[in-house]
Amino acid sequence: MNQALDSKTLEDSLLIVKQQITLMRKCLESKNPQFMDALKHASTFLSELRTNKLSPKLYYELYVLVFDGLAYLSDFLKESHQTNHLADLYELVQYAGNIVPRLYLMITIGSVYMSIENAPKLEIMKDMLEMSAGVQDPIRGLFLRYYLSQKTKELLPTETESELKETIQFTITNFIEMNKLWVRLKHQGHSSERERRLKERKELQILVGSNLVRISQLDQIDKFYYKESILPKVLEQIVQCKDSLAQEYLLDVIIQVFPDEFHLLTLDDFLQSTLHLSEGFSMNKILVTLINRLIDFQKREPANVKVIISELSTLTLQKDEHEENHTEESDSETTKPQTSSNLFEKFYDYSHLLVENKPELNFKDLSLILEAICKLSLSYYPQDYENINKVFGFALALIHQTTQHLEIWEPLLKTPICYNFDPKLVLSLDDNYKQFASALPTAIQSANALYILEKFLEQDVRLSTVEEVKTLYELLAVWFTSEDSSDSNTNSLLFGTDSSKNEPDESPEVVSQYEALAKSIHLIHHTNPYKHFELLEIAKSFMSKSGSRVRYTYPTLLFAVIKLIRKLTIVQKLNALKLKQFCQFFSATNTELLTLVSNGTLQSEGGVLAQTCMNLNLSMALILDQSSHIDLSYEFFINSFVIYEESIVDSRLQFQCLLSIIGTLHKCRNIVNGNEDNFDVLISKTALYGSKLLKKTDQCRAVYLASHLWWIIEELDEEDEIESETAKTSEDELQVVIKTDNKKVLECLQKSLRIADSCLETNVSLELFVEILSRSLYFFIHGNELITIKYLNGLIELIQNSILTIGEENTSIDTPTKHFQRTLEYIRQQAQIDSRFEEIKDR
Amino acid sequence: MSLFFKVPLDIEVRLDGEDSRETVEVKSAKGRKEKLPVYKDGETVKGQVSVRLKDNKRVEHLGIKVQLLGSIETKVDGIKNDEFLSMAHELASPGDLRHPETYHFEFRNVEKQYESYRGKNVRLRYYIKVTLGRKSADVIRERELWVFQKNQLPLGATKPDASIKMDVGIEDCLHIEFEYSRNRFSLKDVIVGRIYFLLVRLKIKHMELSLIRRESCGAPPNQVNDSETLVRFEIMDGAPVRGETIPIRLFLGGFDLTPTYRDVNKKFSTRTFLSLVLIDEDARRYFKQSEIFLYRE
Repeated sequence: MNQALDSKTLEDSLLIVKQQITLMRKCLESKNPQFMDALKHASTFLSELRTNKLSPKLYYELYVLVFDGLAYLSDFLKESHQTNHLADLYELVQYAGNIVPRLYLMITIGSVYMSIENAPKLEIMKDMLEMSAGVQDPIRGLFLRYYLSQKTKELLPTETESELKETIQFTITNFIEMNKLWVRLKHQGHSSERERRLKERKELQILVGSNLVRISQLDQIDKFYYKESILPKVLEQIVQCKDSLAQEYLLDVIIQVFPDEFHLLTLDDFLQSTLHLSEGFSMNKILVTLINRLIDFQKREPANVKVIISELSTLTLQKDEHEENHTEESDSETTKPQTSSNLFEKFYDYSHLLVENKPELNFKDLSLILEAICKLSLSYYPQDYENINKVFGFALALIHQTTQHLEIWEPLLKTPICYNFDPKLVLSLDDNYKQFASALPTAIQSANALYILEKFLEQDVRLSTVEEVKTLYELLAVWFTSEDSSDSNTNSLLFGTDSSKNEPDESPEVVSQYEALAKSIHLIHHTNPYKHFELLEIAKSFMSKSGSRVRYTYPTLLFAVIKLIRKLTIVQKLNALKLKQFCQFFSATNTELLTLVSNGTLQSEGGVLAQTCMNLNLSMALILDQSSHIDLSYEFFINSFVIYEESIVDSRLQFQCLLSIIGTLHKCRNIVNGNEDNFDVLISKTALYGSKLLKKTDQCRAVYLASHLWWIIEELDEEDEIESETAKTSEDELQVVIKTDNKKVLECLQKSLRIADSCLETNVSLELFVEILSRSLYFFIHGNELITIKYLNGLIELIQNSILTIGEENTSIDTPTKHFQRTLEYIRQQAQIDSRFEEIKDR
Repeated sequence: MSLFFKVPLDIEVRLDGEDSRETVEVKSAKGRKEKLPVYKDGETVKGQVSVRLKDNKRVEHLGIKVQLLGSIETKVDGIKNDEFLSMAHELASPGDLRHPETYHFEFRNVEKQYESYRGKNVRLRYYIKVTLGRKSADVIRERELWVFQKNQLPLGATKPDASIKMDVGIEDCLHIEFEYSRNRFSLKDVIVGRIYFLLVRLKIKHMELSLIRRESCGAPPNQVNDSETLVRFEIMDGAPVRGETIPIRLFLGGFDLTPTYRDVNKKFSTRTFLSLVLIDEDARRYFKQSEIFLYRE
């Protein structure tokens, strides 16, 4: 409704203006230009600008049209200024009764006058500026002054220094007046229209800002002049206008339009004045923009930055000297200039002042400011880690004052990590940071911790000192300490309160955290393995705090130990005493893991973990065997067996574990040679376990696999030939006999055959028969004398009979039958190279 | 009547150097514009009077004379005419006129004490009056002159030349301070000044400056005053806030102003007031007048 009315008013006005412009042009274009009439028409259309019925946007439309009309007039004047004496015209238009048309005409003629040589430019400028004070209506005044600045922008004299000064003075004054008008607009009209008023003011802001742009376009200004004469005035106005919209916009304009070096030089002044800004001003936006500009400047022109900073310090030095001379003070403050040229110090001190002077400043703003300061320090002083700690010390003090909206601090928390990531920096973060982090909600903490860790992993940062390891894990402290108490909290937050505490199903986040944590163990590195071990111990001391979640990390830790032992073995520097330490560490850790299984917190996962424990033990046993510590190795085998007996309950797991045991034992060399009795104990025990398995098939397979333990032959690869020459001389074939016990092997096979036979399902037993045949062939090939042709033939016959009994057509035995066929095929092939096979009867 | 008393001759008054003389345009009572020759104080007025006969008839007359008159006409209680200057020359003695005649006249170095003035109720005029006496009605021909007194010192200025500075206001509503550079101006001068707002609680819409001429005639009990606003000049648009200073600059040269006269021949005075008017959003007017003294250079 209102809007329609507005646009109607606008249309009417536009129509009048257009008509009058046409008339004016007619007067000017006729052969004898009727200049006075033209002026009258101009005055008539200018009267339309007196309206107060238009919103700024519509007023602007009108202004544009009028501007064009006046441009026509001034073009005419420029061409004909010989005939129309401009000074007289300038006086003539003063008689216009209404101020708005009068001033527009005055500026139009004045600007033409200025463009003419030898015109009293400065006087005209001053006069136009002074007279413009007559328009006090915000919108009309703003547009009038904008017109003034538009018309004069190309004409302002800058040749001599004094002219430049006047020009700057002119522009600044115009700026100040415009800003006053702009701010005044806020207080006009009904309070219910405040929203609209604000919108209108935003539309007008560019008019005010244009003055600053104009100043910035004066090439003749150097940074010192800017510091001395321009900025203080502008800032003073900005501070005094006490309007947050204006302050925010104008400071932003200052930051945007003036060169970076200016900002660097005037930082103190700028910051100082922002302390006096009005309430409700969002400080962060300005400061963050400023800091970002400075950072970009540093990135683009680091050399230039250096120059200016040194200039700055000489400047402050001079100033100080000056002051000292002035007050004749002693030179107690000699250190001051150095610190004051440090940008970080400036901002840091400033942030303190900010908190003191502006208690209403919210924490969100502060956090953003601190974040920006952090970034500044990181790009200007990348080596100065102490700065960051200071910032966090300050942040810590702040965060203690509030408990609300802690999430706003998260970006700050991440800044040192994500911005120009430097592991050294992260590792030199001190308690301030950690305490700061711990004040935040655990969700944020752990996300940050994960973030840190991922960065480290990404960059493959090696941790080689105690401090580094400690610092890193302290940074991740949230995962170790908060596990049980807060875990239930987060769980209940995420999944509702139903989730029971003893259900160890972890959320994907936690799993990924611990995955990263486990990976982090591999970052620990020291060239000295013993030192390395110490670091691992420290790591463990951190990990141990995470309760049942050690199951994610301990295995890695233990493998790291195994790795160390292997390394030491290879360089042959394994110290027995140290080794014992390693072993103790290992078994202690492993026991801790096992207790998790035994106290039942893990329920279904327990078996798997127990298996892991056992496998770890086996690995340890194997590595110890390889390093010829057979007694220790034996111990670990025994431990493995104990775990097998006590903790592995599930029959499938048992079978798998047994396979692992057999595999590991089969790989052992030194224990077989060094202490065969012990080895025999181990392998007999293994075979016994095998025969005690629950399922017949498992029993059968375990037993025939165990048979290999009595028949350990190392086949040499081609490359190994030379090294094992002794073996080669003793035997024709390329194999080293480690343990051969024909009788035991046969016993095992027989036993498994019996078990297979006792299977009720004939197809299963058939399959087992075929498998036993394969094993027997292996032993036959490798020279077990008790596995004879006759034995093999017997087996083959047995299988063939079973097939016949079941009936060849029965599909249930397809697989075993085919397996059998392939085995026979293999025998036929072997027969071609090995004469012994010829005697095997096939069919 | 006019047929009956038809005047048998034409009288024309011509002034020397009429074409090159400075003239002034004045609005006559009927609203027409007249061009009048301008004379200064002490300047000789001379010219010719031509008498032409109509129908070539002989005209008998009782003598022809030319007068230079200065008079003040007031319209209070009917028209009163008061002559303050009267000079006469006889151009011809009684006799007959047979041919057209031209007579020269000259009033040497006439003191013209006052300036010509046409106001609402008062006129001060100088004119040449040619009278041809007849037995019936005299034939009279008048020709008005316009007199400027240059370098006239402002009359009645209390102090030689003082700036006007004033502090006015309405309690808790408005408080302004204004200042004009001087209180006496030549008619081609510029009034320069400024207005300083100390307190503004009114919603001011705009502010203007007006020049008001006040003419008063007659003696105190029957004195008649008449004011006329000659100029209205907007000097501010919109509402100022505390601390604003608004410049004033008003060129006088383009307006039809009258110098300040005080007690011209004890008959009338014209004074000019500078009035500062503030108009608020409800169209209420607040004003402050102060007299300025105008003079002609």
